[in-house]
Amino acid sequence: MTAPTIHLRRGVLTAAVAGGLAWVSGRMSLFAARGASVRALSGSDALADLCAGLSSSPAIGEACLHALPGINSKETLTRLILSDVAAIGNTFASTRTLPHDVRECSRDDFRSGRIIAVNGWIFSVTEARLYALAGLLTRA
Amino acid sequence: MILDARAVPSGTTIDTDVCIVGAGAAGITLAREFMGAPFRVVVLESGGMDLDMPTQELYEGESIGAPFVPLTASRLRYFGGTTNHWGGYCLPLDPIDFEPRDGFPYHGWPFPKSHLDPWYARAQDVCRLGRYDYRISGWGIPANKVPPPFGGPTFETKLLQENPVRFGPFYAPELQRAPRVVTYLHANAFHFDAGDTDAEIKALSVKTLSGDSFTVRAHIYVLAAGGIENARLLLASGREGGNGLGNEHDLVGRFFMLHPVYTVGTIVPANPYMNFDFLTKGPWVPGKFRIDPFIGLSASSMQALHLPNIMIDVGFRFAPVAGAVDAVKRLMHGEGPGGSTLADLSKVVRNLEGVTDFATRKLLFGEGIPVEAIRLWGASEQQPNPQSRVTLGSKRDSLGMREVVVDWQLVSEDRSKAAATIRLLGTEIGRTGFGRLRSEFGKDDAWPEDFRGNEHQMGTTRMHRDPKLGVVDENCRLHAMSNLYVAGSSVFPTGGASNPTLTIVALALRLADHIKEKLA
Repeated sequence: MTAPTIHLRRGVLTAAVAGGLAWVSGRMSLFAARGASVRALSGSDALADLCAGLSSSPAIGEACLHALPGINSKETLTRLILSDVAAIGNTFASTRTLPHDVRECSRDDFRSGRIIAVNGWIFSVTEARLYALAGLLTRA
Repeated sequence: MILDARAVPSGTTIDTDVCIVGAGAAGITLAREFMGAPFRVVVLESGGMDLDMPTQELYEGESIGAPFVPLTASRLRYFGGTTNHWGGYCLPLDPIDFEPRDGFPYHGWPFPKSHLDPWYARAQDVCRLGRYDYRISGWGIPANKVPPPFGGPTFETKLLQENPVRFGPFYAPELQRAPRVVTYLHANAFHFDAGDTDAEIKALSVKTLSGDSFTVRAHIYVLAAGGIENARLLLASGREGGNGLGNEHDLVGRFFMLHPVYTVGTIVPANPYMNFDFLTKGPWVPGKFRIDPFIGLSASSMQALHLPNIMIDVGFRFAPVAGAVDAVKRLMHGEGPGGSTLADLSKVVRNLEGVTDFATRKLLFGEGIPVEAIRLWGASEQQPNPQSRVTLGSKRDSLGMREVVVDWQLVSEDRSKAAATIRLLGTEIGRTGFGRLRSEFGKDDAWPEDFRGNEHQMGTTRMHRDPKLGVVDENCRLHAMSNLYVAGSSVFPTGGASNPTLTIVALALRLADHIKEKLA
């Protein structure tokens, strides 16, 4: 087997997604790092909080927005993500459970083939929406 | 013994029992098997004991199809053949590669893999490998150490054995001592004469670059000149104005296959500190074999999803401290390839802090170097395609033989099925939480940018029981010729995704047994 010489494209995107993965894998205690205790937040506030803690770059957010035609508002993305979380039987209870719920939702996407290619990355639809939402929030 | 054909007087006729054309992996294996036999053997090798450019240039030809490794770079034309620069990667074909498959026209061999197993086992020794065991569990990688998704059911961790033994220098001494096996160097097989009947080879004319020519007359001839040259010599032989030997059904040169190779992409692992031992190569020791794991599809998923075989090679991109840690290991234990003492010391000094961190973490937590990313390269099975072919052009080489024109053609399913496999891989990597895959493959209807065919030239004299579907029968004898056999990857009807040399050697051993039985 000959390993061909390749030019690996690293750059911002890899770092951004790696940061996102760290969150997805649950290794990054997002809310603890922010010093937040359990707070009574709405679903949209909690999602915004979650997005703000991602290391995702604006570039990946823009790419995800581009890959999700017809979905270009924070409200739509928030509604879609939260309804997907609810659809797999998890109900948003607190900022502590949201990362877990979204992660479960993402795995469920992969199980059912709900995947999307974004700049070559193979993402679950839920995480693409999350990165898109993070991108919109950054833009705002 | 090994002689120089340039010393054979022009016009000489050499009589022998078996004549082998080519001294590469197949030809040398056959010759060694005949060393103790009670019959005479002549081996004709185009080159000498080392590379010389006038001989290598006899490989020139034209490529008019999809891109692949150039004809003069992918092969070596001297004693030992292409094993003089191969990587030494060995593994058998999978059982599924031998079977007819739905959705894969022309797929399958005349026999199952189990038939070839005894010769595969013997080929291990010829290729200087370990025991005939290609299960990861047989080499100290327990199944429970393989994380999802690489422990089945869709993708699996497989392995190959690796030892780039140079057949030429390694086996020359024993062939030099063999009294009844005479190897002629600088001897170019030029034309098979089948007389008027086209049913039996009467003689083989041989030329040297010094301008001499002589004839070999044998009871049995074995063509072992390589995946393209085997077809070339058949097409160039026979009656003047004919379409070559064994070509009654216009099959010689068709079904030319390579393994399409390309960058699959990059995995970002969710846990960079996870145990990646299941994908780690064995220790590198010069002259010894080592194991080398890779990722592939399981037979059940290939079958269920109608996907071709694939070999996915991995390369780790470690945190920057990796190079320095390797340097420390080399300085302490002398292990691993590359590096000089001075360069290693410099690396360690420059990365002292990182090395200390690594050593501390390893001591306290047993954790290795964090893996930033895993790069993946793929080699896919090509679907047999009669439109992919080797023909003769009008240009002639310095001996006067027509050069080849190679039109490597894939079908659209080759690309779409490979892309589907990579998409499946990305899905499995995400589903199991292993990480995420980034791949340029599948973004449009094209292969990845670095796509090309590799050096594994196969199929041009394919094996089939039906003369209308194959050039040679299941014993590798030309359907149309009673005394001409073919050895090498040109007889492969399907090529799987495995590197071909172990199968070439196994088939050569099998053919040697057949010929010994025939001449007994």
